[in-house]
Amino acid sequence: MSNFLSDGRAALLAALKGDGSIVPLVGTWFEFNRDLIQRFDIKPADCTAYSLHPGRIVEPEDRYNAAYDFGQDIIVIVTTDGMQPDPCEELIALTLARVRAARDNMLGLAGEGLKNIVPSATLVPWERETTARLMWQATITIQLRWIRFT
Amino acid sequence: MPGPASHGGWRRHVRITPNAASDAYGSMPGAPDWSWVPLLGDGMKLKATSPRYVPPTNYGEDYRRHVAVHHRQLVEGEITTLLWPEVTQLLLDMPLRRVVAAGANYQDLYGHVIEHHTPVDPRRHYGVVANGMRLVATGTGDNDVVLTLSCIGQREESVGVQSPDYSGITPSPFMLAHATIEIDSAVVSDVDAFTLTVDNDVRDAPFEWNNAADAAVRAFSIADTRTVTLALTKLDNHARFNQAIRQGNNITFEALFRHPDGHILEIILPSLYVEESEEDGSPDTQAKVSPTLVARAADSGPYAEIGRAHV
Repeated sequence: MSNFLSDGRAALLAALKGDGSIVPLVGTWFEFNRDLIQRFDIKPADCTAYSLHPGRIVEPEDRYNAAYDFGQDIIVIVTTDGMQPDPCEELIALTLARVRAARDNMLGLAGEGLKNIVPSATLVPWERETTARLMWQATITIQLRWIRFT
Repeated sequence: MPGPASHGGWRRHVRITPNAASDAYGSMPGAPDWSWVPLLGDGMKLKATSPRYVPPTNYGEDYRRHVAVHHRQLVEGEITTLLWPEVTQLLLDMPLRRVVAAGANYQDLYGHVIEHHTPVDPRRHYGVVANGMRLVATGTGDNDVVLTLSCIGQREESVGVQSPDYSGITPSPFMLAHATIEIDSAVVSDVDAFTLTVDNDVRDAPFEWNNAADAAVRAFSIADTRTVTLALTKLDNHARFNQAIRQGNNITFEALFRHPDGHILEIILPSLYVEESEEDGSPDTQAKVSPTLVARAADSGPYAEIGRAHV
């Protein structure tokens, strides 16, 4: 059953998977769709791994008499294998650029109430006990800001 | 449980219909064209008040006030909202559109009937004109283009309950990020904010008795000369405003909003003179300039001192 939250996440995933700069750099996509059973356990062999999943819903603010606005966080996790953070940083930059470009047409969801798309990112080194190598993991939070009529 | 009549603010709604150019002041249009308008916050302040006539009299022979006559009704207040695309034309027409056909109400503002539906007291305001408008665009990304209309009406009456219908309105309003701004026909991308103010100088009117209101109400509404002012803030990276002050030349301003859903809003000020231009040169930030510009009618072209188009 379609709903605007799922539509927003699906539209964002489609925009990212349709980006000709991002796709060649990604080895494994984690999309959490119904067709493929994947363990969400990223190994060096999966890198560069690119996953997208729903995050928190920021509580609605009642600032209108007939509408409410709130944020829907979509979490993108980019994992790269190797000591240097450069490949991870490159994917962060490409993702942010694609998100900014998506504001032009609001992923085609302005009619549903999508009014802004705001990204932020955190990058951390990630050590796994089972491997000797360091991996870098970026968490890119892309907030879809909605305004909906009650 | 405070009782069945108590309610949350989300249950209060507003709808507006314009009068025809030839409609009598304070009348109901023959074929109302109602639009439900979402509000921003506590954005419906248009309301009747009832100042009493209290004469300084010794009537009553003691220190107490014995005479306080309910004799007239004042209807005034502001309406604050965002520019939802489907109601933008209606809302901007209220302070900007003047009757152009010679005859009744020539060059005057159009009147409107505005209903405020609350669970306890749905009411209707007749003869509402927009004495002024303030459009504040701040680019914050949230409620960043806010419209406030200063309204004056003739009278307020109770009305039957109506259920709101916002189904035809695109949820996301126009925002500053949708706008391309040009100053003197050159695109600028460093405007932090702008405020467009319109003052229609609706004059005070005498009062006359109205049986429906059982009180005296405004007898008519006439709008005088309009003043349009633009204040904006941008990075200080050219001398255009200071040159206009020194040399007396005019500036043009245009803001073209392209909504992601395809709606267009265009605001054009074809001839502005710069009254002053304050500069902020604080050492810990980018230098900015905040000019105040006043519009005059263009020497040629279809626009008065301000034009707008909306699709």
